[in-house]
Amino acid sequence: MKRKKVSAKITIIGVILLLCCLIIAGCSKQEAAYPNRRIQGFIAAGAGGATDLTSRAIAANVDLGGYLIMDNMGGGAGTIAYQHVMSQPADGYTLYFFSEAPGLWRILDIQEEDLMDTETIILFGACPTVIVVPKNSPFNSYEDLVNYAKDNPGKLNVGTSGLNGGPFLAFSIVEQVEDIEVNYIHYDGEGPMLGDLLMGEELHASALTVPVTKDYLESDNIKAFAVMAKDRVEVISDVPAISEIKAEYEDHLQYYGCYYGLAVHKDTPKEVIGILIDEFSKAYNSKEYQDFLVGNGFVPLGLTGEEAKQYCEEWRSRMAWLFYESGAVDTNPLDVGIPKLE
Amino acid sequence: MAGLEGIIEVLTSPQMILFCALGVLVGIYIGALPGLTVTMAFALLISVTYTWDVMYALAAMVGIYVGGVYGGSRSAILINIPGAPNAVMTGLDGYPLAKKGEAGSAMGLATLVSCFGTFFGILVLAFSAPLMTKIALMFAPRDYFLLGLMGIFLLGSLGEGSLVKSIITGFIGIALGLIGVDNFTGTARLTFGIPKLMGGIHFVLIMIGLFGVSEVLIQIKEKVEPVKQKVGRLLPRLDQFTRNIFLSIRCAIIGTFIGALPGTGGDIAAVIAYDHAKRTVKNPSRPFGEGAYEGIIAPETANNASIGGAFIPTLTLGIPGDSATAILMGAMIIHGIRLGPTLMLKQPQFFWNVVGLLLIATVFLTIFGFTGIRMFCKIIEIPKSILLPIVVVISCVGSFAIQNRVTDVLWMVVFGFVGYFFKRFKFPVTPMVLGVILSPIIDSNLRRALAITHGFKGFLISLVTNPISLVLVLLILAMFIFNAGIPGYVKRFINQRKAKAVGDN
Repeated sequence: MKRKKVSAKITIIGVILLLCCLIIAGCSKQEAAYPNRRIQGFIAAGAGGATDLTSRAIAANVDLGGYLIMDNMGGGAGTIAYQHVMSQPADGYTLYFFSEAPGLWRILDIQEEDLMDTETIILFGACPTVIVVPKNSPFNSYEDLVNYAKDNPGKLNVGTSGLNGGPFLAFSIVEQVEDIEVNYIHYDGEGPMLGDLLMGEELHASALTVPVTKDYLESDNIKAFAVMAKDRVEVISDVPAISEIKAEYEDHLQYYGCYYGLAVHKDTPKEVIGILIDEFSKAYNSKEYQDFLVGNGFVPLGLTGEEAKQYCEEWRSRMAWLFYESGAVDTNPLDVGIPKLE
Repeated sequence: MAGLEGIIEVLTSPQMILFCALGVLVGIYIGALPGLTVTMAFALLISVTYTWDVMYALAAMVGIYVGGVYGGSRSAILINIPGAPNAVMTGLDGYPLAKKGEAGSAMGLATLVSCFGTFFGILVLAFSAPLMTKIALMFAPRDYFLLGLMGIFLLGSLGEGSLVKSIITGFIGIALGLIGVDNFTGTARLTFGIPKLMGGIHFVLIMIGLFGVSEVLIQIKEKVEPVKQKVGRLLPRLDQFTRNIFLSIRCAIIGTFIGALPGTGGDIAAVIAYDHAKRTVKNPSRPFGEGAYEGIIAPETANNASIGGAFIPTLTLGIPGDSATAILMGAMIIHGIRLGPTLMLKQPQFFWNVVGLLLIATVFLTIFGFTGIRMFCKIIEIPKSILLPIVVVISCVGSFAIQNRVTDVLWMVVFGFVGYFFKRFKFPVTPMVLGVILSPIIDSNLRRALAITHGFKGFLISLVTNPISLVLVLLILAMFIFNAGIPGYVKRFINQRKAKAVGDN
């Protein structure tokens, strides 16, 4: 009887070891020209959102010998995927698909490193938002909204898709330009927020992405006041650009809102970076991807390498100083190494 | 009902039926394997189906969704490891049944009510989607908070052990659910400065550890021998279902409704339905927690009914009803279809395409559900020395697959040991998992509600001035009164007074 028990334990250990061997066997390595094995693309956000969609759509058009596999690794405002990708060998076999969130890490004291410590490959597109109110709202124009906020400081309920993300960034600029204070209600993404916005009882206003705005305008669920961009957007050409309403916005709209891109470890070999930039530029310029971007209300960016990095840096500086000067954060950007733009 | 031809379009397309059927089959296995979830399968499918015709991709997704929600019950019943969060409640009564040798009939019953639930959800989707959307949108953050609070009251009634122990584990779960970067302030909470904790601990990891690995450790310690299963009859006795037909309908209503709420999905639906069954069924076939058929009927009807519900706001307004439909929406965008109010106006047949695919999926769920039972029953009869290591490896692979992080596997193992010691000292683990699931709902919605009403006073007023909130508050008060046993006290008090009065005379 006792022997039987012992042999059962040995069998248990044996089977565990055998199965572990099978897992490890899948991890063997070989060396040849890049790319010659699986490339893992980590999307620093959950499935279904704008970061996920822009990344997967370009990955579907890119030609890396069929080795590119995309995975989601959300959480921690994008830091989880960042730390994972940067802890892997700098050989171009792990890619970091990011959103604008890293630009806020330093100022929000989330993490010290950010995109400046990586090699940026390409920025795909930016995503302007539109200031909207529910259909049954008493506000009929941008001025109504701002006047209410001026008369009732901190009483205008603005729904956001989270602490960073389109609506919050848009209203941060409105707060700064109009010198008002609004009351942010943060949700986990645009979808969950929409329900409360459409009912018009809990939330007074928000900023939605262009295609969503177009949908709800056509079905007569919302009123749209202004596109947070320098120019009107083609698909909703009736809605004025915010700079038409107030010229002071011009300065703020150069670097603003959400954008999406790809980066790798900073020690990645130059020739690998070159291949990645070439291949992703090709995919970016493909008709399919351009159609996808424009059709879904993204503004194509297409910046690569140093240009892309500069965009990220200027964006970071612009937002950090905006937050600091409006009192949203107490950290002085200079203390965390973010100089002010001229 | 414009666009009704959409149903006929899918029902007459052999390819769509094939993709949908394959989806259901794959979905059942994805659901049954701990860690592999419907949302993950959808994310994978986005890449795979990019070049497919959009309708085939949709057919496969709907199939996987229906199969996956159902599949979680399999492993919950057979080895007490819920394959998906929405099957957590199913194991409470399903596993005791398996230990009694009735795994076959438990799975049969789960299949039957899952099909019923799915079908009920489809009916609601097809015939009252606009109305349901209106009601679902009326739910404000404060109502989600109250719903979460109702779930908390369940902690006490789940106890396999004492009430105090349930509350302790439940509140540990609530604390675990709060770990990570806070969505409101960007501040890291309960991370102790460890960067790896910034993203929180995924609740599926905690679930796999507490149920999966801990169960393995317990079985090694206690040398549980496989129970010979009765495989004589696989179809559930029809009277088990007919006797509980009204319970099934009530749970299907709960499931559809909770599914239609944009902030909640099948897991919460199963929790509320189980609680509902426990409160309303006076004479269960066996006491709850010891293998009551009602304890399988309630959560399994509700979680499958939530599928139809989740599609309601997704299709009518483009607001996803749960995490799976959120990804489905994303996948459709990549295929060039944007779900939302204009789709309903311009292409009403798309709505009916989905209804048709759901119907096909239900049919195949019935077929695959019943035909696989005999084979699945064999799983528990596998000698433990072979089965248990496989469970450990699947748990590891599953927890890695959630977010592709090795740290996650370590967390899962840690919770395996935690669960083992909890079980040895008779601390129930289900309240802990429930706490992890409920805590973000309670936390973020309470803070949202407070922010919306600009403070505590306004919040309290809003609780009684809104009809939905008022009903929920009254329900919670009623639950509290009954949980605390106040009616018993009152009765005894009155009896004493009467006796005294009689004595005085």
